[in-house]
Amino acid sequence: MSEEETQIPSQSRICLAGVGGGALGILELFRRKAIPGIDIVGFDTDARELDRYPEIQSIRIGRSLLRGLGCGGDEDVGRLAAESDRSQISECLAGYDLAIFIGCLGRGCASGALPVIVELAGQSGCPTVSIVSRPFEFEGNRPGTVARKALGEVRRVSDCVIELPNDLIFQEAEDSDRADQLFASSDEWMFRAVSALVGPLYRPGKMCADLASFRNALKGDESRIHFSTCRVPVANAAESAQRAIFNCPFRSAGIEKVQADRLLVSIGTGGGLTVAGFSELTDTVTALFDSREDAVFGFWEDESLGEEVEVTIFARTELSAAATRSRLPQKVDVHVSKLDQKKDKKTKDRVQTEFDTLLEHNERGLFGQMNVEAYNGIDLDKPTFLRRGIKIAMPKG
Amino acid sequence: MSGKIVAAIEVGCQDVKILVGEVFEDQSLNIIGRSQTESVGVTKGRVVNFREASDCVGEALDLAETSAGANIESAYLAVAGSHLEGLSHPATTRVRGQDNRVTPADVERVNAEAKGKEIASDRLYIHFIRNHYLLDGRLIENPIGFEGHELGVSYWLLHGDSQAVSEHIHVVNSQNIKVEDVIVSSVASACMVASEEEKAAGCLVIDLGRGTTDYAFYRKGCIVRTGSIPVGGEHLTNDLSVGLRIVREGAEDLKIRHGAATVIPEDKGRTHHLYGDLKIGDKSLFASSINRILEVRLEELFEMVRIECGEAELKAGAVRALLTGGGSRLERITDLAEQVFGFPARFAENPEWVADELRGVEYSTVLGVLHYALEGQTDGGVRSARKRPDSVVKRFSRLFKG
Repeated sequence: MSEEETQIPSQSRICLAGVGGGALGILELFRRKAIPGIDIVGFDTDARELDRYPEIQSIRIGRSLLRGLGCGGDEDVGRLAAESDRSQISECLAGYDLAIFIGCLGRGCASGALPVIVELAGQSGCPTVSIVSRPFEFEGNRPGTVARKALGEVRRVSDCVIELPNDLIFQEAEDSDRADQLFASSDEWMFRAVSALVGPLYRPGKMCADLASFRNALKGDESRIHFSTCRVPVANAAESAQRAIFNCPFRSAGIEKVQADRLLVSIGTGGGLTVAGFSELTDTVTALFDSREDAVFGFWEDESLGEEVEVTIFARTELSAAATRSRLPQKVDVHVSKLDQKKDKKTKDRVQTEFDTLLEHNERGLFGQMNVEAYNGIDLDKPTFLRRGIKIAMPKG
Repeated sequence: MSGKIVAAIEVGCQDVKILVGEVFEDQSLNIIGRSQTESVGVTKGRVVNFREASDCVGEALDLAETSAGANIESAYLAVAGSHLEGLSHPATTRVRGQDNRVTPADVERVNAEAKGKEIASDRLYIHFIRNHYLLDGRLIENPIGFEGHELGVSYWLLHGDSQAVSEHIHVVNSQNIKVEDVIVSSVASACMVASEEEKAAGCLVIDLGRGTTDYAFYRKGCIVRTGSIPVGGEHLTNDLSVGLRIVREGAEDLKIRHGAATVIPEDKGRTHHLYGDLKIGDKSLFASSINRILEVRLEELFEMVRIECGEAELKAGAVRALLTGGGSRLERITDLAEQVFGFPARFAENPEWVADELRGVEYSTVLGVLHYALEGQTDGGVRSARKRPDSVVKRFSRLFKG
């Protein structure tokens, strides 16, 4: 790969790094598609796991600690493993313009090592994007807790986090589907997220949605990222895209409308999109995200898409701005009359409806901001159907 | 003749309800005022925002006093919440009376022993509910004068977190109203909605509130078990909102308009619109999805009640489930209760002798509290036998019809 870099020195450099066994499988999918200019690096503690993918450039972390064994589901071991090889990791990740990390949280290696590795990459000044999956509910309580904690750490160190709650995929699967398809479809969605993210940056574009604008969109702290990608047939694209964007598992459940402060939309077509269709599509998307000023559209062509349109949306909401819009309970002025106080509360509620479901514990919905009061060890605020893994059908098409 | 003005206050998750009654010397009572305001600052039976809750209660008290045209002197307060716990505590004593006949002293001794169980320092006894006496294994309502060797009694002791209870009391005290006593809302509402026959035969009263579900299990006319589970109508709405990815207001509306507690074959393929106006944001949803979400939640809730009450005891001691509270208005909820509990269920309202405007299930708790207040007003000293509820019913019937 170093030869490639010397040949095209002007090309921006992107690194795709996977941490843990689950991520390696997704890297393998990606390697087969082989988009030039992207370096793929795998990190794991388990030597056997790394040997399964001999063609991926990989680093075995925690050699001295684990002698090539796995973490055994202990995230502390994962963290120590990454800490012990700090210099090697930061050397490997230095000098990129963008680093994308993949991890399947819930087990030891990804949950423990990913935050450390992302932090090391961030120290070299390159923007970091983490795409992580949360474990299935049926995996048990512990992976869920571990993943929640790890997700908090990843959010802290990473410029942007895109999360895939595997439970949503479980919800959408049919009863008759094979079990291995479930895991495959989780990998598939992770793969789609990465390719939707980096694809437009490398494909010949008619309109600009390049790395620079992407880096711009990442700037700023205290923000929430909304990411959504879908492929819809070119006929009636606007309407079906609107629905597909909502059903994309990367979007948290329950969000009806999002206000985005920056919006990056990349539309890929196989050639069948008409002028009218294109303008309708852009109008729909901007209306969906309530953002007209700061929308950047990219447009590219790919023959392989055929009669389909791929729409990828990357939106950022400034949370600091949201906070000033009374996200926190306001102190009531002495002179405000009772009627006004009530109105105040209403507006606060409305803003909360838009934002509270974006928080980490969005499965709890309204009760997300409250303490978990476990009743015989069960968090009753979480919907029963999610806890029992019952599938809820949604009308499609 | 003017009586004492007493208020029954319920600070629920949904609204604050107050009934004002005038209690007379001759054990009768007139309901002279009522008020109902939206409640803020109370979630799942606990005060979470003192100032807001206090303001709400103040507003409700003002309205109640206006409607009654009198000043409220003292108040009885309903408490709910999952911090309430009960324990069954039996006690026995040797009969010491002449000829082995039970004397009032024996009864008092056994009662004191049964009530005297030590609890943790941060817990507070709220109710002592006595079950029947056992004299040498025989079930006796009032043992005084009977002959036997060993007198036993079992109490259902209800205790709550003293901090949570004192917060509730403080909310009312902050409005300069003295709280005479607190009453557990499940006990209050159960004694109103269950008929005497049902209480005697054994029944399970389930009050589905907004934030909590309270239950009381009557066996042979006495409450043997009560409790509260922190799941209510709000959870149903939240489940719909998360599961169907819709906003909360829409979910609440959808639950009321189209929700049902079981999935029936006719639901297959049927869809409902979220708002029905076909504007932006409106979408169609499967009836089976809506009902399935509600079904699993309620099924789990009923199962929890069944486990809390003891499955074997419930099977042996109850013949009917009574569903009350706002959540019981959900369609086909009685079918689901029948499935889970294995005995018939019915929707329970206040008895017929209650005035029409107070007949709704919302008022059963405050009415029960007021009934309790009346009992408290007219009690003279410690009684060896608890007053039977039927006398209360008679008293009420006189009031409401007269």
